[in-house]
Amino acid sequence: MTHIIEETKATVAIERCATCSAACPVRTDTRAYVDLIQQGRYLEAFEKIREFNPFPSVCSLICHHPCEQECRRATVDAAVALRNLKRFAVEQALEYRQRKRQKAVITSSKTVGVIGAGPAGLTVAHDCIKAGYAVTVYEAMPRIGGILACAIPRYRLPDEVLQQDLDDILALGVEVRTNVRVGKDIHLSELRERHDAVVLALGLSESRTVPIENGDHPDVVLALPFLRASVLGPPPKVHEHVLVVGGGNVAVDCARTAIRLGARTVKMIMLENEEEMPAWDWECREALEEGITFVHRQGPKRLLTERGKITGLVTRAVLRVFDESGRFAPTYDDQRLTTIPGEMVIIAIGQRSDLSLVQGTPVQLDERGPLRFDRETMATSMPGVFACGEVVTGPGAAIEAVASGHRAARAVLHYLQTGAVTPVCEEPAPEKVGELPKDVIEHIKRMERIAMPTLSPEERRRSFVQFELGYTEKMALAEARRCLSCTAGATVDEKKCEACLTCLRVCPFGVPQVDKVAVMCSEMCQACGLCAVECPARAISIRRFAPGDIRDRVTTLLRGAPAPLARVEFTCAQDAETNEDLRDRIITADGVHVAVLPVTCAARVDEIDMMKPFELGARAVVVRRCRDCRYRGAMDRLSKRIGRTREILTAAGIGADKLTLE
Amino acid sequence: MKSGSNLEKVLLAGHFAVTAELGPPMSASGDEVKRKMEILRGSADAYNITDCQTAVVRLSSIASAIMLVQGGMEPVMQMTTRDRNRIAIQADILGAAAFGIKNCLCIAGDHQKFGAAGKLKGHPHAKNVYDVDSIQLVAILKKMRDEGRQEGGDPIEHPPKLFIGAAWTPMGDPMEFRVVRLAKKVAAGADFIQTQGIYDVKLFAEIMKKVRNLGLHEKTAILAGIIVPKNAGMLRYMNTSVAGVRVPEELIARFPKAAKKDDPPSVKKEIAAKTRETALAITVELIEQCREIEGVRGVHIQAIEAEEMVPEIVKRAGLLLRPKVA
Amino acid sequence: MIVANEKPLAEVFGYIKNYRRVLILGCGECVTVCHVGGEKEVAILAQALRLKALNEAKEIEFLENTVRRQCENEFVDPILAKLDGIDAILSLACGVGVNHIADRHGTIPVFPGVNTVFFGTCEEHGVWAERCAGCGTCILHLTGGICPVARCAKSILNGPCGGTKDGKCEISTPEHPVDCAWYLIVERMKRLGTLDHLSEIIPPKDWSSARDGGPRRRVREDLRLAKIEKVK
Repeated sequence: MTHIIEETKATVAIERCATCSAACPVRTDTRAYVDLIQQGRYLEAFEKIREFNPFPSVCSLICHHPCEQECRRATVDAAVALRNLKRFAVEQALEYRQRKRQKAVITSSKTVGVIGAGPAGLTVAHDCIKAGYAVTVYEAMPRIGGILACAIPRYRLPDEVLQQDLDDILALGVEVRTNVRVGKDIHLSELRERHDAVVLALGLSESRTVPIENGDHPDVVLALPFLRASVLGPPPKVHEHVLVVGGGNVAVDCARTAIRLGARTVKMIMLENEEEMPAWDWECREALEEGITFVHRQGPKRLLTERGKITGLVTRAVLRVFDESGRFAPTYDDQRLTTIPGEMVIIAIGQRSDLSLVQGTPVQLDERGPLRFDRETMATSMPGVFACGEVVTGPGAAIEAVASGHRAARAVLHYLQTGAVTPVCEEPAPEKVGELPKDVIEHIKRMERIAMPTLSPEERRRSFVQFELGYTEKMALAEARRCLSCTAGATVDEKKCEACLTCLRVCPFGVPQVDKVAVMCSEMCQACGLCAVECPARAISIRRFAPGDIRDRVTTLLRGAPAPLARVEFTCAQDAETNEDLRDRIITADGVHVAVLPVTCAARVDEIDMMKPFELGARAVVVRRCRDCRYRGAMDRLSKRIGRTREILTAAGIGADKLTLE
Repeated sequence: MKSGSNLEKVLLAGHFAVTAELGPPMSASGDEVKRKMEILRGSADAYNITDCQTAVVRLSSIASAIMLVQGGMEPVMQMTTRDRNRIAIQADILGAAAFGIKNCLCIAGDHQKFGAAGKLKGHPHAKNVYDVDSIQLVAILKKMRDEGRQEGGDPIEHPPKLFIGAAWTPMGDPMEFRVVRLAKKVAAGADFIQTQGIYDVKLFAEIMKKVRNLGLHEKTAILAGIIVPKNAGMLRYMNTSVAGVRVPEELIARFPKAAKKDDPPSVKKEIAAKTRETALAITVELIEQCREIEGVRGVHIQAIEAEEMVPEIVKRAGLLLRPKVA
Repeated sequence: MIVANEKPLAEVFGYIKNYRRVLILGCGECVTVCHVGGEKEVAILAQALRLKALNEAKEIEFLENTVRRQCENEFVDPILAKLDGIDAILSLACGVGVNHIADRHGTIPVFPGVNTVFFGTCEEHGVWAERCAGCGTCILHLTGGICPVARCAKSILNGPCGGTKDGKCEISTPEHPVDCAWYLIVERMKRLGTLDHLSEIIPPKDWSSARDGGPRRRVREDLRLAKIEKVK
């Protein structure tokens, strides 16, 4: 897997995959965007995110961040807040992305039809139109966005945020037909004739239900209609005491929505116990904070009513949810019954697809359930008709839908070019980088994870206002710095390496192993850059930094600088609080010009970086270290290197006092 | 009789031998040598002439030794391996023997790096030779004398008859090895030994016990080195800076405090006299104490740039009127 | 490995100040390892010379390159074949490399950028010490592996002399400490249990295999290659 570092056009091969990227269904180069944020290059960070995912805004708020679950920093103190950082980058790029909108260039007369304007379908549309094919998306609802637009509560995904992603996709020129129900308003075979390829991205648009004795009552509602009404309006009526049947994310969404619509108590009744509860951990925590209670190991049995109003639900005890092979096969004890009082019941036990449109078409269904579908080729049994998203994968997260959409788009593009269907091969994932060894963890400076500021639970219960408030710039920079730069560390040019052992001796983390040549253990390296600057053979480069980056920046900045240039300052970027602090810049005050170059870490500034400014006309050079360097021994190396450079400056006739360390 | 030198005869006759040191001048004139000769005449059985000591160029030991022979005094020529290779050494030995020089002390010689212990410029940039070491030099002289052969194997028509000496630093690091090294010098053929200056007589006596255990005192004649302590400062300097010299604190304490700059001349004169007296007294005591140690067969007195003190010291030690042995 | 010291900048500048296009040529082996003549040091010297040249109002172009080993034809010839207007070479290799270039190219002046000093070991990062004198007749089996020729200031073979003080040589100073090699030898052979071997007198050394016997050469006749036509 290769990643292009745009600024130098250098292609760097990575042998190991960072655990965050490996966990991401679309293999986002997470480390890269976090590093760009750390450098103050927020817009580039946004573009890096968008390179993999056409739904950056949506995911920055609702993604279940599998990347964070695998973040190696968690074994040190806490995972890096990758989703929060993504949100910060997205927020920085609001104006920028609008300016960048451009219609895609259509280069083919072939067209693609996509049924379903959810994240999977819109990803297919995005990829295909960017490849030069006109796309039309057919959506049954009055709005595009699928579940994102209709069922994700606004306190998690405000409408204007969703629109940012949707508007970018529409701006490409994707044609959208809303309020069109394929199968009713238009037939699938017609679409297949109209377009050269069709993709079914139908999603799971219907709520499942569960039989409850006496359960036919207007105040017994299904999850999706309830959520749709609360999102699209008019807001549904909610009683004081609400019961939600179900333990998944949709159930939690229903519960937290009910609270905001005025319910006084909300109980979630589920088959699962605490460990088995399928909703995300943080959702459960936030729900509990908002006053929702969970009732575990209970299944709905009978509705209790009195004078036409619901008074409660009789539930039966659940003995077991999963059988020996892990399949969902709950068993009950009908003798142990509980009565739970309540005035309204929302059933949120799962969703399913509406597959009516395939009737009378060559698209076949599978015996077990949904479409007959080839997971490798993304093809249905009807030629030229593909499928992706939850309709074929089953329930999944938004980013998984995007990943599925990318695969389908690749299948469609191949089909359009060759007329043939082929397995959509993903490039084989490089091996994930291994765990951080204990003795390395010991030496990593602890940095507390910056908590996302949120509204208080009381405030949250009252409205659908977005409850996570977002990072300030200072918070984002501090959090981005916690990244360990996994897999972006040192590599050795074996042709130059002389096994002199210098890197082994200076490394703060014991990374190099030296036999015939030095070999860098990517499990341990944190890309501090100390070995590269100390190597006498210049045999080491750090993937995180372009080779000669500091030198090039010095030359670029000083070439255009006004004279006389009083001082060049290399300041460590670790203490920066705004991206202004992170820019290479000339500061002029009282006619005195000072060039400032922020660097990470200050110990990467070498002898030549410190001497070159004098060649380019500077009068003095200062190296400013950070308050508390996180790399052992780096500041000692820096001060000794400065001592030596001062001696050289004396011998060269410039004078030792012109170079200082502060 | 290996060489027929006076020193050899005195030792063979069983007398307590006395050798003294004469330091040659940085001068091409032999007058200074002759002056010192007269000061020392009669006070010792043989007189060492140092060979560019502390790597400072002085009138050579061999030339000075010739002057002594011609003046009727017996020299102990000193030969360092620092400045000459084995060819030059052997040639100089033949030359020395031809002039009647009968005693030769074989030493490695001070390294030229710090000329004159920092007081003079010296020749720290010179290339040193060290073709052979002191022990190998002893063996070379023995082979020349006893086998009539050069080190390389070529014959010597008329072998040089020399009494072969070597130096010994009994209290140098590592101390326990120093006796082994003495044994090597003896095995190589050293007829007599002159030690580094002794001040810690008790320690020296203990070391001599080990020497006697190995029977070395019978195979070679050990002369205890006696350096005349001019004042407390000199003792302190030697204790800290001269390798292999240990000075007990009691000795240093015996000297009167040095005169102050603004003391009246009479006081200065008195302190100088007392100092000189202490120096003499300590020297004589050291000689007497060393004489008590079994296996010590003489003393080697060094009065550095103070040769005039030697006759009085020898007299006070009851060693004046050196024996005349046929 | 071979260890060298930096030359003072003023001295090096003096060699090349009247040339216009100077190639600073590093070597990828010993001088890289002892941080005096590898690619990094070439770059540092180039920058330092540029500053000095500016200071002295001299217009000199400095080019930088490093070869794997300056003592092999195959590594050095490609550089010498394409000198492109270079009028002097400043070599940061050990003296061997400088000589090799001088031998290989008749007319280009080549200057030494370092002072080659000794064969030595790395005692700790940044500290190297002499260990071998290249005398050609190794006697380390007699002295417990510690060389009296290289490490004794007087190359005594039956040491120690009388100058040892606290385990240090008579030429030792606090700024430049020198261990007494014979002190080390005695201690080591004590630990090996072979101290009694030192009672034997080691005879005078055969210096003819050392530099004293003239410049040396090693020839392996079995390795000398027959002349065959080179593949293009």
